[in-house]
Amino acid sequence: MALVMTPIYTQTASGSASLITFNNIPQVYTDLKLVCSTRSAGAAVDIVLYVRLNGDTSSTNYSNTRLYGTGSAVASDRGSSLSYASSGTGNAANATASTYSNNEFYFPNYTSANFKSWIGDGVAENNATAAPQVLTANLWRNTNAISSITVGDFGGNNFANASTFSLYGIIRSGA
Amino acid sequence: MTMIHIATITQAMGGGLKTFSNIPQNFAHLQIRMNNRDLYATTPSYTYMRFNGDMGNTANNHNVRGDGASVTASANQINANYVITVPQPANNALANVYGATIIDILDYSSTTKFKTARAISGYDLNGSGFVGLYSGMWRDTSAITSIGIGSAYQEDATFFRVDLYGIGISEQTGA
Repeated sequence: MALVMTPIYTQTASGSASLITFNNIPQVYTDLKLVCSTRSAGAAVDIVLYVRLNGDTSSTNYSNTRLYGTGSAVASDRGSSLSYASSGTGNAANATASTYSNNEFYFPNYTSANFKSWIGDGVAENNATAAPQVLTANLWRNTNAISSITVGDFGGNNFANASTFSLYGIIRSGA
Repeated sequence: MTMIHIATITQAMGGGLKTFSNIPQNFAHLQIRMNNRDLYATTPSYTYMRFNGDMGNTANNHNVRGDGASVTASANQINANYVITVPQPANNALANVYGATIIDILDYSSTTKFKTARAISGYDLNGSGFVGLYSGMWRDTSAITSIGIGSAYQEDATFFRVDLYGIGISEQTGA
């Protein structure tokens, strides 16, 4: 039987961590999919969700291109030679209460010997005009297979209780 | 296999809002996949979604979208009575063309979070069209037990097919 999507790991924040890391990712799938429902304790309406791979915090091997709307304006930007990728968006403490963002990051061919590319699409709703929707294309210039993924609040603020992170493995039929 | 088909609505012709009822509460997330076209010749035309039959002004929606000539970001509705709107071809658009939409709703059964939906949606008419990232929020901590779908203008819609899936999660954390 061909599996479509298999849950690998799930973490639920308890309010005491600004980073969520999935370690020891099995190398048996074709692609990975990570969905995140987040709220940050940061004093802002919304924050950037960043992604790092394999614990790489010191290189400048990350870059990203973004298209985003703010609720009233649209823009596109890029970041190059960074120590993180700005892959998504999250609600923060000044957003409407009880509101959590909705993000998906998709990592195709995560075990390949190529540089690692992934896409992100995320929204952080708000009972106001201002609310971000982002589309991102991301790159980690490293040929190692992805064995861990870290998602963090750009400002180092803890994720609120009940923020959830769900990692899935996707395998092509017949593999 | 963790993505389970729950229900399908096919080729609905008028008759009011179509509803997925009695949604099982044993999944973590929901995904809707839709192929849609309006019953009415109204341009622009949208499909909208409502949770638990709530017609109060308890929702918000935003989007960033392009139409082939320009890009726009907007707060589509503040205090709306529908959660999310996505574009669809009007009945007088190019024949045999239906829009394509994927909507993700994370933590739909949570009783502590408001519910945020994220959608990728668009259609092309060989000379016009829309594509965008759409978001919506239902400001209610109730678990989602039903989802109503209809045309934004007449609460009727012609669908070719709308599929509802439930998505599970892992009990392992990978921390």
